[in-house]
Amino acid sequence: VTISGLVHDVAAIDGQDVARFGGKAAGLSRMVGLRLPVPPAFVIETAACRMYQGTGDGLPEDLRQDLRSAVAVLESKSGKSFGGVDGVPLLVSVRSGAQVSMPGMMDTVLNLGLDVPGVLALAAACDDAPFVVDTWARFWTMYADIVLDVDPDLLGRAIEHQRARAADNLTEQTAIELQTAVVEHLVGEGCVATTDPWEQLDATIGAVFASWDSRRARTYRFHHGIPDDLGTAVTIQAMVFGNLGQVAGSGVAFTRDPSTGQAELYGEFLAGGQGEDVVAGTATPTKLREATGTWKVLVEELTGMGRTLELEYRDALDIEFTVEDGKLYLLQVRPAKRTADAAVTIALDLANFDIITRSEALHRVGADQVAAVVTPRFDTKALQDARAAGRLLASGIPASPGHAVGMATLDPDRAAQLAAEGQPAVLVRPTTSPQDLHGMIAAEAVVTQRGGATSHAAVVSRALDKACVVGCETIEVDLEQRRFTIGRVSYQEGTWLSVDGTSGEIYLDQLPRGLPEGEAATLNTLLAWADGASDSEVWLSAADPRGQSGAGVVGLVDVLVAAARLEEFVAAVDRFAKDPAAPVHEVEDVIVEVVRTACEELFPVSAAPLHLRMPSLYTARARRLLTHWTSLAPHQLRPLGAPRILESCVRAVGLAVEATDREDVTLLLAGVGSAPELTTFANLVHGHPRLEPGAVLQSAAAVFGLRGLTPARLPLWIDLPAVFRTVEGRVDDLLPAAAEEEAPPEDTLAASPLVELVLKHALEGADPNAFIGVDLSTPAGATLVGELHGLGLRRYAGAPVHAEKLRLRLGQHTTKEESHG
Amino acid sequence: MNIPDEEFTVLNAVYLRKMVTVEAITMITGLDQETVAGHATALAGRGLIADVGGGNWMLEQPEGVRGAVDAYGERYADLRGDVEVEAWYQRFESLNAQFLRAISAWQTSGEDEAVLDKLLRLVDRQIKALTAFAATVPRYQRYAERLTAALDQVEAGHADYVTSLSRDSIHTVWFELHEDILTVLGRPRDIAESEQS
Repeated sequence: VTISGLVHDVAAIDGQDVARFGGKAAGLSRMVGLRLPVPPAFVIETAACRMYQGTGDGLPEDLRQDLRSAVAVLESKSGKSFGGVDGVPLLVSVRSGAQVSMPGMMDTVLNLGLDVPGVLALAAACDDAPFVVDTWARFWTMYADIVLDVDPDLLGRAIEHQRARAADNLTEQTAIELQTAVVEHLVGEGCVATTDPWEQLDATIGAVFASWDSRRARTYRFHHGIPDDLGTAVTIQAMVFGNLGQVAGSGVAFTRDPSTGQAELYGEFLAGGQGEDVVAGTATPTKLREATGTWKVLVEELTGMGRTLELEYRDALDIEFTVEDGKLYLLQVRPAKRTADAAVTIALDLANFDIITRSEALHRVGADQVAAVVTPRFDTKALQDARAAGRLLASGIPASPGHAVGMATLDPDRAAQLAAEGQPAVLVRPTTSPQDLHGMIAAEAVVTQRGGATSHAAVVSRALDKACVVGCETIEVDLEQRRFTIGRVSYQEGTWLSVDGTSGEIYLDQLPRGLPEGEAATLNTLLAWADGASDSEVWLSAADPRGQSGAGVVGLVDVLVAAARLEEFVAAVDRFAKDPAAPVHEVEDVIVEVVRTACEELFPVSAAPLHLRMPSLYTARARRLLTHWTSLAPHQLRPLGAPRILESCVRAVGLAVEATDREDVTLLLAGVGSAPELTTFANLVHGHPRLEPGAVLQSAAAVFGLRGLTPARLPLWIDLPAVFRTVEGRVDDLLPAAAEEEAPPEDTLAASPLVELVLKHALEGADPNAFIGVDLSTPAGATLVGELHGLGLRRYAGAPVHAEKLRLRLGQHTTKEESHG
Repeated sequence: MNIPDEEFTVLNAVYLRKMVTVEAITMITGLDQETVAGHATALAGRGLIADVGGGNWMLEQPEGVRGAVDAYGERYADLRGDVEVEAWYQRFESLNAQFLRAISAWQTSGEDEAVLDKLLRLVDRQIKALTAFAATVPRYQRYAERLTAALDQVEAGHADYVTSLSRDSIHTVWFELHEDILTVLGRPRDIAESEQS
């Protein structure tokens, strides 16, 4: 019982009351409830934050008294003493605990509680002076950074000398010298720097409360709709040390492998060290599964705790732990970071073991993660073979993941030029500057000779989501001679390279890429749940074995591009554009030949239904490709305006269908505006017994009149980006590739109230048995997907690279309510 | 060649971006469009930059690069070797190393808000440092303004203003500032970066 009623032992609070005690204390309380070993801690509840804001003059006196009693409890529980000289000093961590973490809020100060006598006492207890000096210095830099707003690196440099001396030979004298150096630097930066642990504790708690009201935190809350009067709690916890006692150490454990998702305890520990040493990589740790002796027993204990915690948190977790004098303590437990592959496997496993529902599983994976799983990567076997064949050229620091293939290019201008020609480039530079950005945007991957994982090149590559390897010290770039040298071998610009941004390896030649079968199958199971939940089908706008629902809307022109027959096709159409009376052997005969052969290549790829969009002369693409486009008469630009071309295409597809014995091929007329137009086209297509007609609606008028088209029950696809473009009066022109990536996708129907109105009008009361799909050539965000599903649309078409995202988002939309139960 | 101050800021914008629109120069320099267009024409007259159409200006190779580097040299020769400037630069490098670590941590943490806080505080410190340095190089005040504008966007929930290349994001501005200060001091980037690592 406390005087203020605001300070509580975490063992005695309600672990569900996050609003009152903050996330950190609530989490600790739940762990105590599960009988898991956590160092003793207490919490100052959020109400104190509101009081502090009210007074604005330090901590209220009754709160300070309670604080002293609470610290006394920590002392007796831990057998240490705070700010005193009797025995081992008690050090504490001070953490803010708002319901959500936000910028502007003070986060954590560790190792608080040392002064000169304390440092000497702790060094005597653990017989490790460098560790104690390090702990003290870490406290000061953190305290300077978080509480005093002083650059911690500058402080670190200012005390470098005294710190080294104290670590080398710790005496009262060298400790005082170190403390004096710290204080002098802080005073020089205009701060009040107390060396008394109690005053430091008060100042830190005050800083947490004050940070709640910082301009930045207020701004964040305003934009995220978080009330200003919630306040933050402060959790104060005894620290334990991984180098006190015979059996001692620290480590990190994952309840499941964070890179594969496999269900086994994964992680490592460092005997006789602090957790930061493992994180900082300054010492080589031991793998948990290779532990022996007493540690093996501790790891088994940890495995059991991991299972208990997974059931409580219903997720894969990462657990920071410390062993002090033979006793295991859990310091921090939180949902584990994981790779995209692991996220999918873990979601599936947790659902299969009934730890979460299938609906929840859909929300445990992000759209970007799903896209990452189906991004082609180097074949494992091919990597082994390349290594065995000596084609591993260089290894650097992996700075941005991804597997890319391209021609080595040493100059950003030439990389941009290659990309403009449709050739993949790998930009290889000594280092990168802002002047290289256009080359980095154009390249498939970036390799630098110098720099670390936190160089500008790495930051930019991650922002661009491109493979990047930095610090390839063995590569000598010779810009003048346009070549690079590794060892004694020189490679000319243009050499094919395969870059593995995940491992940091660079291989000679083009390594094959594909989808890993296991991961793809796991993902497909999860997405099948999504399909089931959303009752929707997603078609791929290319013939792809993954497109089980169907391939559509596939542009016939794209089929010609894939078959490398576009040039001949364009020449024939151009001949017609120049002279509508051009001879049959220069127009129809050519079109039939190239379209037929291209389709014969395409049809066997997948047996799923195929919807082919007929070429249209009224597009930016046609205008760009055809030299004589301007000679076309206006009426020839209409959907049925050039029968010589349209009829040849239909006839050619019909021949290909017969030659390959293909079923389920539908031809779509683009830009249809009226029922008579559709009927004319249907009659033309029905002239070929195995072909079916359909249409793509590209204008608001066509969509508005959709109900007039549905009685024929022909497949109708709404080309949503085209509808947006025409309604909003945007230029229908293909922008340069880079600019196109930057163009904001239509994320919500609210972006165009008129489009929304037209869709609603069209779909309300449409024939429920009609085949209506929506064609999304650009990736659709969660909001838009939800809106379309809400309008009753259940059939979607998208580019293969976006299909998995789309399936997941549809599933997430329909299970939103259940998953938060 | 003696290039007046304002005209130099326009040349510098083209130097840092290689190819840039008048709108972007306006944003980088804080000058109005008409002034920018006037200076750009003058610089084209000197053979340093060229109008490549579509409102884009590009640096002439190699005259423009040499011209820009020389102009830096003429302007800032006195600063090179100055003790206070060197101290300021050391502070910049210290902040820069922390900034790149924080921004990398933010990118790889799944854009964690607590990590973002650390990053934004470093930007606060850089803005203070730039404002102090503006007594020595007045045009650096513009970097402080651009960083403040990017901060406002991030705080308003637009996370793309942290690293996006298509915005005047925190990293975009900082990266240019880094290149700028290295050129002011006449230090090639290669050496600066290898010293760091």
